[in-house]
Amino acid sequence: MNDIARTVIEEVSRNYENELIKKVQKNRDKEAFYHLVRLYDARIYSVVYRFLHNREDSLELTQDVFLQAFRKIKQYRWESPFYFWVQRIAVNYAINRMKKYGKDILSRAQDCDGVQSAAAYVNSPEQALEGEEKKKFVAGALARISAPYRMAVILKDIEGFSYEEIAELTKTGMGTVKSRINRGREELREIFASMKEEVKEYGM
Amino acid sequence: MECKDLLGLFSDFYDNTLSAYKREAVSKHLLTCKRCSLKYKTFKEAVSYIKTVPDEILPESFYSGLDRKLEEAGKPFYLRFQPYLTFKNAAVGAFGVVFGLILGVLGNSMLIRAVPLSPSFVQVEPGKSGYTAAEKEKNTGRIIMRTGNVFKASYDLDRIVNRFDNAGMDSMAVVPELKQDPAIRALHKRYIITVNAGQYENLVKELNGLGYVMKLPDKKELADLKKLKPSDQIKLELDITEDGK
Repeated sequence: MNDIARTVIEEVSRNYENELIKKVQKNRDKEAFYHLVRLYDARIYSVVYRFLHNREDSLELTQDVFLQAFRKIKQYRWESPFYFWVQRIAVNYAINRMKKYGKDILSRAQDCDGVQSAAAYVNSPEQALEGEEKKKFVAGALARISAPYRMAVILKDIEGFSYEEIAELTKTGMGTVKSRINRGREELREIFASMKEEVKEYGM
Repeated sequence: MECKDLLGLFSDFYDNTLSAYKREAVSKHLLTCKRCSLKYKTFKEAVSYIKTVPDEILPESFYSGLDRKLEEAGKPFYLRFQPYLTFKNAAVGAFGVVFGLILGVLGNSMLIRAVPLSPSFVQVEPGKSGYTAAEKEKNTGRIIMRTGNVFKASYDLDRIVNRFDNAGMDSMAVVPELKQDPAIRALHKRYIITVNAGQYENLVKELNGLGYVMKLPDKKELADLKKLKPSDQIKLELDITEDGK
C-alpha cells in the first residue's frame, strides 16, 4: 500500500514538473519557472556550497545556474530528468569557478563563513541546531578534500549519483571518476581519523 | 593479502564492486588485522555519515537576486544601456553627431571640387561601351548584347557585385557608366557587366532571385548565345530603372 502511494505521488510530481517545464519552454513563463526552481533550489545550492565552501559565491553561482537554465530551457530535450540537466550546469559552473578563482574563494571562505550561518529553526531549536552543526562539520570536512576529488565524493556519497551519471556530469571517463572517488574517500577517512575528538562530539 | 595491498580497495569493497575472489581476500584480512579493520571502520563511518547530512537551506536573498537577474536577462539588449543614458552622455553623443555631419558635408564638397567630371572618364575602357553589329563581327568569339531594361529597383546593385566576387566569378567586372541615357526617364543606374557565357544563366537566376523582372534578349540573340563556348565573354548592359516605371 505504501509503495503504491509512493509511486502515485512520484507520478503526480513528475507530471507536475513536466507541465511546468513545458510552460516555461513554450512562453517563458516566469511564474512556472519559479515553481520549478523551488523544487531543486536547495539541492543544487547544497552541492555548490559543499564544493566551494563559501556561501556568498555559492549563492551567486546558484542564481547563475538557474538563470542559465531559464535561458537555455528550450535546449532541454527530455533525454534525462530535469534535475540532472540542471545539476550538469551547476557542476560545470562550480568546477569552472573553482579553476578560475579557487584560491580566492577559499581565502574568503575562511573570513566570512564563521559569521554567516543560515540557521533556520525548522522543527525545534535544538534539532535545527544539531542539523546546522552537522552540516557545518560535514562541509568543513569536505572542504579539506582536494578539489579534484571533492566533487566526485559529493555527487556519489551525498547526492547518490551512479558512476555513469557522475562521469556524464563531470564530463570525464568512468576510470577517472572511480579513481577520484576512491582517493576522495580515502582523504575523507584520513580527515575523519584526524578529527576524532570532534567526530565524537557530533555523535558518530 | 597484506596491509599494503588493501590500500585503495576500501572504496570498491564498500561499493561491493570487487570480484568475488578479491572480496573474500579483503574480508578475511579485515577479520585478522585489527589495524586495517579499524581503518575500514572509520572509512565506512565517514562515508555513511556524510550521506545523512541534510540539504543546506537557501538564504532568503536568493530569490530576490534571481529575480533581478532574470529581469535583466529578459530585457531587450538596448535597455541594458539605460544606466548610461545620462544627460552628459547624451550631450556628448549629440555633439559628436553634429560634428560628424559637419565634417562629412565639408569633406564631401571638397572631394567633388577636387575630382571634376570629365568626359574622358567614360572612355577609360574603349571598345566595351559600344555594341554595334560591326563590332560583333570584328570580335569573333565575343558577343555584345543588349538585354533591355531591368525593372523594380528598390535595391542597389553593389550587393550582387559583392556576391559575384564572393562566388568566384572573377571574369565579371561591373563598370557603372556615368552618362545617363536621356531617352529612358527616371533611369536609376546603368551597369555594364562582362561575364563568361557559361555564367550567363547564373546571373539571370541571381537577378530573378533578387526580384528583378528582366527583359530577355530576342530570339536571334539567344540563338547566338547558345552557339558560344562557356569561356567566351558576354557583355551585358543593364539599365536599372525605378520601381514600376
